[in-house]
Amino acid sequence: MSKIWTQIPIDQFEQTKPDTVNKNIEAYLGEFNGKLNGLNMPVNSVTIQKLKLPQPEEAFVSGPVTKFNSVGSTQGYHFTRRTGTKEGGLDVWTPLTTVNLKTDNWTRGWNDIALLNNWESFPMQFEAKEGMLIGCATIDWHHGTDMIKVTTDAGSTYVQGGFQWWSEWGVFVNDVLVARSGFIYPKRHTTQLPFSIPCGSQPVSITVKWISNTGNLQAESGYTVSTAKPHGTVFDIFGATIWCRNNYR
Amino acid sequence: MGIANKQHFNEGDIPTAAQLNSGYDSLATQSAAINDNNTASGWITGRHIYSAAPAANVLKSYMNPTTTLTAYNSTTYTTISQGGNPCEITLNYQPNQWEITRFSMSGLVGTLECNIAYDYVGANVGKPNYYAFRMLLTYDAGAGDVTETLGEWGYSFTPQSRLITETTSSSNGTVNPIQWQTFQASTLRQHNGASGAILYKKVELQVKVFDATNTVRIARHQIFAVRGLT
Repeated sequence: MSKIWTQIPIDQFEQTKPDTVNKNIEAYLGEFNGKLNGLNMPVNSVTIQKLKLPQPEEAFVSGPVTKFNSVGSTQGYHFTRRTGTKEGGLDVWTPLTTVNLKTDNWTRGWNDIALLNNWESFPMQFEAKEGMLIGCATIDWHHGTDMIKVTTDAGSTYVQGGFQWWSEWGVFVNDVLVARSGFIYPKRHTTQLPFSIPCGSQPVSITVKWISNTGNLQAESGYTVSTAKPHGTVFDIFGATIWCRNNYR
Repeated sequence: MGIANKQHFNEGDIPTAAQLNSGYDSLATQSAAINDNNTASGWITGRHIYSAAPAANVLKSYMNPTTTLTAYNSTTYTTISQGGNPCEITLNYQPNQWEITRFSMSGLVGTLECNIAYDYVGANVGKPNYYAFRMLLTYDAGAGDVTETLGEWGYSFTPQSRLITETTSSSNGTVNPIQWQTFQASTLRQHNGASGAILYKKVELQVKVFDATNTVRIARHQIFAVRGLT
């Protein structure tokens, strides 16, 4: 669309009219004034030195959640993190947040991590540019089995169970589920959830949520519980990170 | 501002030489200061970006696809290494200000040896059940090498809750360790200083266990660093 040709050729001995001196130069100036595009530029000619280096759009955020971003010419990176070892001042063995699945409030559906104490500002929010959102959530968490003390004919003993319980994590972009882990059976696991989704020039909010299918071992075991010494089935979170690359169209 | 102007002529005007030249003069001046006012939306495509030296992203990687299991039971972080090849990437570049580098790691845990998972008490209840990985960055800001932990990520030897403290389990017997599973994590680092102020030297993948009587064995492993230049 940026190719311009001579509008009014000027021939020898031709009478000069206003259009003769207006239209040619106006056409070229019109192209220059807003219509330059890829046809004016040789391919393979733009180097890194010609591109604007990335700049943060928002200030670095520290505290219970670390956030930063860096927006460049071809892509913007956005980051949010809350981990025990970085933000919590803990070692890697100590959980940062624990949900006691027997006594705390949680739902059988998706549980937003932002509902937990000190996780309120964890969801990533930014103004995306038209293109793709390519990112990954990394969650270090543990949901284990449970153990109860029961009475049998031989006396009291301990019974461990809950090996069939599962939990799952999902990534939500503007409340739409874009990646999910599938069932993860009891263990401590660092789960990575890569995601990729097209986006417009729009506000974007990205968070992670968990869902858990945890039963009642006392009921499932069929034993009579002799001593009320539940170990408690706990849902531990050691840390979570989301990074997102907004790759422009 | 990149916008070129000219004198518009009507019927009967007698333009001066300067007026006739004004459009060309303006174009000559403004063409040295082309900016967003001159360009259409979506004016550049990927084909215009120089491809011989990547302009937007640069990938650096180390991959070891070995099937040989190497055992680790150190309670301090040890660089994963197989056949004398440490899992590390020599970075050797100076990031620009605000430049993002994306680090990711993954691998395969093979057979495990779990002798203690749940018989600790007190503050360490459950911790022997864990092993952990970290990515460690080494950089030089002009005063010698400095290391920075980019992130730490954990796994458990067994499915047990960390609160289980009894060693007996009548209905299930011994709990077998969770073997042959992948491990993986990723994170970002932003360079907040001036361009060229520091030199990224290398990034390593390391592992440790909480209790030295437990052993983690690792087969294939890989680590990646992606520079997001602009």
